[in-house]
Amino acid sequence: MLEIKNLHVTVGGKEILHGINLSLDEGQVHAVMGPNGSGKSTLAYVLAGRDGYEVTRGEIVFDGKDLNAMTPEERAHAGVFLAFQYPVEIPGVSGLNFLKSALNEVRKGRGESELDAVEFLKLMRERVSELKMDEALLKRPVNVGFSGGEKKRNEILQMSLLEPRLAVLDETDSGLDIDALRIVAEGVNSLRSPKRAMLVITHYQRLLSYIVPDKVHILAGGKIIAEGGKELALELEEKGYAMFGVTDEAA
Amino acid sequence: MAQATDISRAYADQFARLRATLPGAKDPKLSALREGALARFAKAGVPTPRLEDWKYTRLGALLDGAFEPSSPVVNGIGEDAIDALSPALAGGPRLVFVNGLLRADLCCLDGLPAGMRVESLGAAPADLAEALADRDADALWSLNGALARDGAIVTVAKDAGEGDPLHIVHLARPGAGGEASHTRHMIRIEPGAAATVVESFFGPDGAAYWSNAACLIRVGRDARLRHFRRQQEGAAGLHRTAVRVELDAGAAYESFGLFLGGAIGRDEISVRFAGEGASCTLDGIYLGRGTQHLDCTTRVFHAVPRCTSHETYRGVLDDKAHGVFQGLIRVEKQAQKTDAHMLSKTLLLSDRAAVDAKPELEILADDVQCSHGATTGDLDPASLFFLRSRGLPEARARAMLVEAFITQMVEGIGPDAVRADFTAAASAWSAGGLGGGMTGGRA
Ligand SMILES: Nc1ncnc2c1ncn2[C@@H]1O[C@H](COP(=O)(O)OP(=O)(O)O)[C@@H](O)[C@H]1O
Ligand SMILES: [Mg+2]
Repeated sequence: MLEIKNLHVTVGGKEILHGINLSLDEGQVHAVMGPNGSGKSTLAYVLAGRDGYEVTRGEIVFDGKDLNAMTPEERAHAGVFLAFQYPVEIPGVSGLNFLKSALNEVRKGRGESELDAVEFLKLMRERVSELKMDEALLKRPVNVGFSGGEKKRNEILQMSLLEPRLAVLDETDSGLDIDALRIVAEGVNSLRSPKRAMLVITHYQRLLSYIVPDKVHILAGGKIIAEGGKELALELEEKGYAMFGVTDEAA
Repeated sequence: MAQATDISRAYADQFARLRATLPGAKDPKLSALREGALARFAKAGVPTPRLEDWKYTRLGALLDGAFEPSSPVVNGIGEDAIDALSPALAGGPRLVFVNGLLRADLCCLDGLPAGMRVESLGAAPADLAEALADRDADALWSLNGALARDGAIVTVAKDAGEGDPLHIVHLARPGAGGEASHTRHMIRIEPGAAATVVESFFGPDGAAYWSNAACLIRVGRDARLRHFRRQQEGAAGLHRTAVRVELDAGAAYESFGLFLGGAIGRDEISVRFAGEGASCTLDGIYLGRGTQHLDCTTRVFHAVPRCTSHETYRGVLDDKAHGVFQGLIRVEKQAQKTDAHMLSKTLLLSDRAAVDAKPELEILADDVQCSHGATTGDLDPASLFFLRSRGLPEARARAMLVEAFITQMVEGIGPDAVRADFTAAASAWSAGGLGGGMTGGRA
């Protein structure tokens, strides 16, 4: 489903990713772990198509298409979803209006009919209660005045509404207390499906006891330096990034 | 460009022709007042960018020749047409001026708040001298004073509670073009009273015309006025409003302007604190596209201690539109404990759009809290990327962020009907409708 081949990415004139290879099949959940500054968010952004993240070599093939040639919205329509490490606040745009617009644009993009206000509200309420979110939050402008945990839950809510084919979760666990982490993980797990793949980016092993990955990739200095099964995450937790000869200032 | 003296002479001729019909014509004192105003205009002439205060705004056709007095329009405008311009305010108390003249048949005074009295300039001889005051005036204010044929005198009695907003509608119906109306309003809020006044300016696209409105405001001790202005002149309209406010001790004045019409617009507001503990908020949003030029100029004079002034202006400029924000805050030496803040934010949606922002703080007192800030730029790239990553096409994402930028200002408007009216006007602009207002010429 997703094939990243020898991917080199430059940001602001500086090469950050130096030849990433990663392939992800339908139904799988892979974890990408790495110390701060190793290029995890860069990988996430380049998958979602952020301006300024330039692919200088290699390719990203998604469902047989060249992802790099697509705009961010085309990627969203094709089923790519990024849960942001730092969700954006958008004053002046109501959460509900935003969610409805996004959902209907994605549905249009997928050739599905748009939902009317009633259908949308019904679906939204269902998902909001699954994530144990306060519905009143969505009447506010997007993410404005939300706590860190509320913002992360809002990202997962968007994912559950948009039902992506490929979900990239960038440090969705950071800043969450254990209860919030469990709720978010349940939300993510409930979206696991044979038709969907997930790339779970995290700094710590903690999240991976809730979302058990099929495979773990260790990213350091813009390169994948190790790969393995879920045990690799546990080993990393025990020994730290030093086991790869890498320092991690945040550990 | 015509000779300034020719233009002055043409306005002097107009005055000579009209003077017998102007309110107060029979009173020698008022005649002298008008003559003085005309003389001051003649001396200064139509302002040009050579004046520091007009550096960024060139008044186009006003420098090419004198604009004739607009002619009275009798036919072709019904109450429905006025309602349609501001549906959210329809049914409330309103005064309607067409080409600068009060149209009693279009006014509605049924719901006038208790304690609010309204009169036309011609029907209030006792108040004329005050209304036509020409102290510290600039040339256009003086010309307005010389030529004003009509206007509203609004008086709110002591301790009167706040009722529904009074809507003052200005509608231009120019003939061939090159016509001007000079309305002069005066609003007095007596001690302890509260009121809301909305002024709207509309006109057809097509012929050039000039709307030169002046409004004198006095808010008494512990009284409050909320004053809204919606400038939606026709595409070729020239608009100039000058508002001069004086605040007594403990008074509160809140102004909000939405400026989106006209070829050239200049909204000026000057606030003078005359008593301690008074406050004002001056908020505004200007929305320009095409080749529009929209100028917002504010001046706040802190002459006494313990007064507060907060200003927030936002602009959205597309195509080749040009915006100007000039904000002067002057704090006199004795005006200790002044709290004065000014913020201007402009979104430029095109490479060819431009803004000149000139905040000026002149602070002579030492124990004050004053600040100003001005930012100019494009939409936030992170927000834009976020929306697009959720499937919104770029154009829609941009439109959503522009609307949000505007909404953040408009949603703060207190009175529900005014908020609805301004929200609708701003949304129509966002959706691509041009300023305009009314289409079609004179019936
Ligand atoms: N806009 C940018 N311009 C230049 N360098 C950047 C930019 N964004 C990130 N970087 C650098 O790229 C590297 C990887 O950053 P990032 O992908 O955010 O790492 P991670 O998410 O793993 O913490 C870091 O060294 C960071 O300083
Ligand atoms: Mg990161």
